[in-house]
Amino acid sequence: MDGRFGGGLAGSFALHAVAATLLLTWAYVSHAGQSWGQAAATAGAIQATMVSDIPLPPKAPMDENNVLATDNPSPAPVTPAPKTVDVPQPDAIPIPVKPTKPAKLADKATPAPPLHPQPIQIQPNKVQAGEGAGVRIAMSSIQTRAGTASVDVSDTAFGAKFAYYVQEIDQKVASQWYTTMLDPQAAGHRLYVNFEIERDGSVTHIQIAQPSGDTSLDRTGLSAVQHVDNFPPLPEAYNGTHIGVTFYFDPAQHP
Amino acid sequence: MDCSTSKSRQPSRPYPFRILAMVVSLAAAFVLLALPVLHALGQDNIFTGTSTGAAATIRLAVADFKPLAADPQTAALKTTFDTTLYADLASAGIFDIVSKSLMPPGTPGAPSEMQLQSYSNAPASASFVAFGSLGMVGSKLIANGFLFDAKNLQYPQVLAKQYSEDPTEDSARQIAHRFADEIILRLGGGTPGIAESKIYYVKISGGGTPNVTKEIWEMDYDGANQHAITHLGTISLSPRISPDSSRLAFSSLGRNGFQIRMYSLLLGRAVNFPEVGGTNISPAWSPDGREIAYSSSRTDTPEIWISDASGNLARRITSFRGGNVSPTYNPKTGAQIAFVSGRTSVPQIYIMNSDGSAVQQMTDGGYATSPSWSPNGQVIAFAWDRKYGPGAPGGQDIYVMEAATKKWIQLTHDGGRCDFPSWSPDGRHIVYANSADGREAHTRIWTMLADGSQRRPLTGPGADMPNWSWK
Repeated sequence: MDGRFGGGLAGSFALHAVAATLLLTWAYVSHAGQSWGQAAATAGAIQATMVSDIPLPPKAPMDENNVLATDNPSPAPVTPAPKTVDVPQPDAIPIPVKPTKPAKLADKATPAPPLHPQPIQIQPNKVQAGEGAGVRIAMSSIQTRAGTASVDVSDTAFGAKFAYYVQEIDQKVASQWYTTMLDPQAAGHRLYVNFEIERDGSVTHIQIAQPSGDTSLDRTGLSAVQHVDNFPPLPEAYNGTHIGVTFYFDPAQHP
Repeated sequence: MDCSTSKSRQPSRPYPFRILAMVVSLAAAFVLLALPVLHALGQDNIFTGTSTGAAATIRLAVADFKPLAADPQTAALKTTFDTTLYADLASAGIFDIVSKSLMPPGTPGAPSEMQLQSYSNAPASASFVAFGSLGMVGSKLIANGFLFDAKNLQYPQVLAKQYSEDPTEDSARQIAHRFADEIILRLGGGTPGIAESKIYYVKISGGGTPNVTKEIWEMDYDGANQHAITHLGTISLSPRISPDSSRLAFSSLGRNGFQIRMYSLLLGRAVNFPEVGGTNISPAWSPDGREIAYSSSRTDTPEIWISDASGNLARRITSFRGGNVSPTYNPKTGAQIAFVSGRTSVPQIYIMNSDGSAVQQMTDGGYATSPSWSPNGQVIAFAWDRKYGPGAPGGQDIYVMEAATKKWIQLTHDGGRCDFPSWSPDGRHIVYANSADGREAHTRIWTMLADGSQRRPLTGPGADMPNWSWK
């Protein structure tokens, strides 16, 4: 009786093991390549890239340090535990204290005497004080080793008169620059792109003035300028038919 | 940023240094002499750049305008003007408007009275200030508007505009709209403002009763100036304004069933559009204004037909059973049409070329209707009930889907049944119809920014199927 029972049980175990193995193998193989429980075509999470299709500025991030605006409750201030003072041992020898010299203070800087009124420096055509690319054929002023030369005071630089327009250019190109597609080693390189803006704000003559040395930066910077449909029309107070822009892309360092 | 300039210094010998100075000053003289020629070419140069890929909102302070005269008519018009200008700029979606409690005291009326420091310092901390003066001068309403750059103390002026109109409420509102549009054009990255655009919609009278009539009405984009256009006394649906705002196409129930009707806003009367058999609904204009696509069941099942703007030379471009309705053209290219088809037994959104080829399904389930293509041609807004079916909780909301990748975002939540989204010309706003309890007579038209924020109603109950003008 035991033998028949034992044999049947062993056979039953073996059959069940084989069936279970077959079942698991089939289940694994038939679903190979898919994540469990997800039909990929309908995965509908909110995608960050979609925001660039809708021409609205991105929402400012919440300031975590602002106690009123954050969701995290700030911890209540902890009352410090009362300090216990050690009673000195009766036979302890006091440690001698070194006599210290009074610290030397540097002399207070005397304020510089007031300057005579200086002549107004006419700034060359620059908004950001970065590296100059040498002497450019500028409109109203030119920097030479001998100093700054300028023609007439009314002909001041575009960047000084229409700083808001230059800011618009910065923002529009920056919003089309997909920094997420940059290589990690792009930081430290700088790309210069030249283009012209016509009277109605359309962009022409886009070209890379000076490659940065990093192909991902070249590609993303050039496509950023190309993807701008048009800038605002040139300021009414400006008389020219178009302006030339030298735009640089300087990827930020990532920690 | 790496600003190192390493100049190599030569040991200064008098002779080469003098040569160098002479050469440089000759070059300078040459350039100075050539400057008038160069200036005539009209080219200025800007050197600027960026280190981040982000844009920021512009902080704009909108000051109350100073009254030019002290009479009560000026005061009333000035109140209308101030509130309209503030509302236009606050709803533009690109500004961070300085709240009224943070504004510095005083109302500057002219550049000479303007103290920019008080606006650029805290608490206002504004980047730009809009101010000016308004009042009756003689028999005309004169408005002087200025936009100043608060960060540029040397050259602050961005805009200086003067408007002169008849002294009515409506013209005070229109002046405010035009000034707001000009500000948005200059500061908003080149996209014109929408303050002068109109919304055409269906007004339901006697809703819920057997005597219900639906007429086509028109209103300003902010809900003001609502007035009727058609007086047909029957059911008129889905108004669609032409791209040049001269003609209005809609579908109306007449003796021969639903037919496409054309109304000329310039002539103030209906113009001819041929009647055909079947049910003809949901007209759509192509972006060049030369063609109209609509759904017609003259061949027994609703298919998409395209005719020219006068209704002639109609040709069929779909041939699927199940009903094909609500075509809408891609306004950027005019080469694609999005439409609703019931060929899979529930209405889904499809895209095809304007000749009917390359049909592509965009939604993958639920009950999807009323597609509307954004002006930049990249996203489609539509109404979708994702949980549709017997026993399902339902809930129809407005979604936007990227046409290229089919990724979508839900814009409205838990507000009741939403339908008929329509994009604004700048692509930043969407107007839609919403009924909180699902009853047709309680449907109102709401507006929101295209990311789902700043939702507010534009009409009272009894308004449906809005359509935003093209400019």
